[in-house]
Amino acid sequence: MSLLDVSDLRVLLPTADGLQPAVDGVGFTVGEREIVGVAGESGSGKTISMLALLGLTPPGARVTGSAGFGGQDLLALKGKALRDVRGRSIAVVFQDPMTSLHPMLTIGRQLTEHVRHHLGLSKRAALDRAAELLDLVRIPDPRGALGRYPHQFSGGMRQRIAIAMALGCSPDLLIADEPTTALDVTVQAGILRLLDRLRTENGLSIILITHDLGVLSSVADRLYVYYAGRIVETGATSGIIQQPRHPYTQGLLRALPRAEDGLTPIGGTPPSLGAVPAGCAFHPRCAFAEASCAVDRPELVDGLACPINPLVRS
Amino acid sequence: MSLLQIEDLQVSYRRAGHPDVMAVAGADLSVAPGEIVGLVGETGCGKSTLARACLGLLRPSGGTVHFDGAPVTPLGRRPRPAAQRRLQMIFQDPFASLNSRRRVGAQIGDALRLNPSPTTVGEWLTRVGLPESAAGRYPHEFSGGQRQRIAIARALAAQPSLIVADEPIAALDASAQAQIANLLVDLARSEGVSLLFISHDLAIVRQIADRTAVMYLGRVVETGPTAELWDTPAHPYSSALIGAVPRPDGLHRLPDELPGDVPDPASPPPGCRFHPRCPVAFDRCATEDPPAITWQDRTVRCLLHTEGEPLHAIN
Repeated sequence: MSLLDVSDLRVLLPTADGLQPAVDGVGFTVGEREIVGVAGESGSGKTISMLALLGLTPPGARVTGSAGFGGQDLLALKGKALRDVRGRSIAVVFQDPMTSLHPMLTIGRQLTEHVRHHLGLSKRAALDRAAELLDLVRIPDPRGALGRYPHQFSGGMRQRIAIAMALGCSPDLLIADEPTTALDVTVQAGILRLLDRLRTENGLSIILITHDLGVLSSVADRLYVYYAGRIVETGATSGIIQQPRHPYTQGLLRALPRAEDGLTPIGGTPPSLGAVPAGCAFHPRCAFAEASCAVDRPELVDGLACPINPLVRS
Repeated sequence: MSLLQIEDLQVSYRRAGHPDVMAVAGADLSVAPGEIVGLVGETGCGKSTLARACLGLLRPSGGTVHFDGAPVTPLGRRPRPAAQRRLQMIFQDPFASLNSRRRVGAQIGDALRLNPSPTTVGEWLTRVGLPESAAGRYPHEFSGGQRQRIAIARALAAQPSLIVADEPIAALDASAQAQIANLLVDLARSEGVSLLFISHDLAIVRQIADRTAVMYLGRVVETGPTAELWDTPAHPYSSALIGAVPRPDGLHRLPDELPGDVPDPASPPPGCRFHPRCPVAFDRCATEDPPAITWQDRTVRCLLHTEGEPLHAIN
């Protein structure tokens, strides 16, 4: 039984040339206590598909499909019903913690506001809860930290505070969008360990969006690889990283700095919104492409959207 | 004979009402002709300040920087002295380092006139993978990766013997990072240009650098051939940095955590600057400043090593 079950999600975004598909029919699930990784280059639709679940798409966008969560369809929710889910059952952490922290309010004020709103706690109970949250994310001296401002913390500590805020109402699902991209590796390691601990000890399910397959390899149970608004490959993390089947996933892995082989970038650039090639969107950059790839759009079959399957052939 | 020789470099920043911050506090580093040196360390360790002092963009408060045998003098309002014109730079943000109001061709042309060169603007654009027609366009017409290609073409057109590149790929998309890193390294190698490549991304440095220097809180704490330093790090900080890099091996292995943050450089810890975070620190570390210990082509500042004995790996 999945916690979140998304199917046939499409997001059309308004552009100068009318509505264009940014997400073009994706489906994914997130299980209880599962860390699901979403990989892909910027512009591949990974962030926008998560924002669509929370009704956070830009004005004029059109979202279709279904997203089953706790017996209701997230995409059908409106107004108060949507606000009750957002921030309470599903929380989000972004790449730059300062997008979610107000620079001129104390940490205590920011951590109590939404727990008082969603959970109806008294001021004193809310402050206790806030200190408990800071302790959970390992902020030293939680009580003292409540009276300080965001600028008094380092980047890694700010990200921990943003995570504490997201956890305020004990959500079932945390969506973390590139939460460690701006951080040093040493600090990143701490955040990844924190996410893993929150899953193990607090039963949190997490969607981790990042372009860094190394990060996903260390914490994610399953992966979805996005390309040009579609999922091109999915499966268990170890399987995908050790034996990638889609030519795009293979390219992503070869572009990583690893000891065995040099950096081999994928040639070309990803298509822009409204200019996605016909057939398989990756075919112009694919070394295995055949004539049919420019015509037939591959469907996701057995976790792979590629009829050629270079792994089997080579 | 080193092309760039930094000895006991110190750079301080003044702050009104606060004590000075010594961002670089006695750093030593050298780059040999044709060598690619990677400089790594966490945010706030002084990497960029060191780069700026090498280029004469900041006035050191102590120590020396020599380029091609002559001291690098801080730049004022006058043009760069002739002796330093073979020292070029590439910055993190190609949006800021290119003049947005001049055509790309004119900017590369300036660099060509700096030193006698048989090449043309068109040749350099082709070599960095851009069409010759790019010369007539303005920087805003290009993507971030393409702008960094233009910055590389401009730096190389000046016929430099050393390029200092400060986080040249950090602002780029993941897919463009590998392309630009490869381009820079391939061109540096084919032109015989030395490269000081500053990055917080150890994995990239491991892939491209001949030698790696690890910086912590204003000091270079370890230098050595990249493969050796990576396989047998002699400083506990190098070891911690390497352990924190997530490995894309599908083994579901959590990277190692290094607790604590880089301390405030305005009040560095006494003794070894790394001792409050060091997992193998002992009593002497809190009081003794570790001297540089050299063995063959490696140098480390850590009390766990002894002068005249081979360095051992710290894990």
